[in-house]
Amino acid sequence: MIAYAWRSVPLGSLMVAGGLLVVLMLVVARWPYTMWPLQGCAVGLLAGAAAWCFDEPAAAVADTAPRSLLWRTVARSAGLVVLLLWWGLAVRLAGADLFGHALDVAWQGVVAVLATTAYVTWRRSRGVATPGRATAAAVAPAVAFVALARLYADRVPVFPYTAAGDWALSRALWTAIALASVTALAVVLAERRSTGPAATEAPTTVDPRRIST
Amino acid sequence: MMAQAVAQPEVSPVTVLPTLARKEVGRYARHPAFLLGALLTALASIGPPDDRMSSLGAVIVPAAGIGLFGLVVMASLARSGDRIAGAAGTVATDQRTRTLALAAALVVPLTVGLVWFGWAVWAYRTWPPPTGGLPFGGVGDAWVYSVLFALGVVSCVGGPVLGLVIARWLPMRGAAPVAVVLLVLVTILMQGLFAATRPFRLVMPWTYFGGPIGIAGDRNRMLILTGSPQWYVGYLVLLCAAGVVLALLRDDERPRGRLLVVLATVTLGALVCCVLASTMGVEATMVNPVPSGSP
Repeated sequence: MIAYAWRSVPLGSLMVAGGLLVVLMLVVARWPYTMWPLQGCAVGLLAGAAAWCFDEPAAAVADTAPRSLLWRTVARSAGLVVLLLWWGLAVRLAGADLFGHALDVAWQGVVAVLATTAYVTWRRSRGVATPGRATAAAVAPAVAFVALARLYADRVPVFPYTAAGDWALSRALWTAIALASVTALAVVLAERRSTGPAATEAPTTVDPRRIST
Repeated sequence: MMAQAVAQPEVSPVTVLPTLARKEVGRYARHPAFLLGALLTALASIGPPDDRMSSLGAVIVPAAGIGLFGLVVMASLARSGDRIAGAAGTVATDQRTRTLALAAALVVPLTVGLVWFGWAVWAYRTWPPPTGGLPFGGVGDAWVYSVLFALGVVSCVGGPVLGLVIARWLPMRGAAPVAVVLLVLVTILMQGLFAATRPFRLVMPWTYFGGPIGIAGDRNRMLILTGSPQWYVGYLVLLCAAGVVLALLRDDERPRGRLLVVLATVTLGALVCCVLASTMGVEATMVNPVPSGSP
């Protein structure tokens, strides 16, 4: 499983994303009042990078192999561990300057990874070979929009601002997302285990150059 | 038989381009990320705007909803087009024609930006800012409309142009999402909130010309920063043009001499506009004499 994870997870991209997470959170910690939108952007980047872990360009082959989607998902989750270690380090370094809510910020990142994993795994189970790229491309600007435009921030505090923000409601919101994500992930993986390999949409979603390598 | 197979009529890029451009316009308009961004922009534009800055306080909405999303949309369209071309082997259209077709798709975010601009002008007239808000003093409506156009409309096009450049020159995994985050990081640092970056902030393709930046003792006091938003519009438009030419230059299978001349000319024009934007218009930071009223 470790050998599979080593070959399949895009470690280089994850290390770049992880380094950028640390930079973003250090900037937030330096000027929390003016740079706070970057905290949301960091969560978006974390979620997007998590999605990359589950792309299987050679899905046409992998989906017919004996290794189940559950096994492959667990193996590829090694990439998530790498990302979460980077995230933990970033929040730890910024810790004291996050309006006293470092744990809440850390929780947002963990839930964002869970939600992305659930969505991308569901897409994989439906035969889409590389859902991570499209997901990352949508998640990063979407979360950046929420962080920058603060749409309905008083009613739906996705990324509360300053110590006076509604952190309790935000925590409840993120916890609800976490529960929904874990449930969805369990259902998808259990379903695939009972019905066998996914019917990959080959060859339209598969890059033939990647299969040949 | 062989001679017939070899002597197929050559497809001219001139005849292919309009067809391909129409296809790319349709693909852009149907892209889920574009639709999501447009929906978020529309949702954020419902109801009265900011009570101190009117629609000037909403310029971030199209910049993020259409511009940032546009960056990944354009990168995605360019890459999927290249994948199809790569899988097909020899294709009738070269990369430069495909890039031009993608550039034609910029009409989609531009249209949304113009619709937003119409809303912003209407909202500014319907809900004008109070005396303690923005703008104030000697600046007039031309200043307001130029700021709305530069930060609201041109940013809708600038994001996709950046996406096109990234797709052509940095075609690695995750380049577009990482670019989105880096763009936000650099933009916030250069948007005029920090006194040290204000003199050269207009180099950035998105920066504020005023807002509740604050002074000692009143951290929400309205300020108007130096510079001319009219010249800034010119700078941004030329920057977008330079981006398209830069993307076209990636195709090294056709002569690039003329494109290099065009790029040099456009870049020079952009630099001149940037200098004029920084030196003309408001000459010193203006402070609203009316206190913000907030603690």
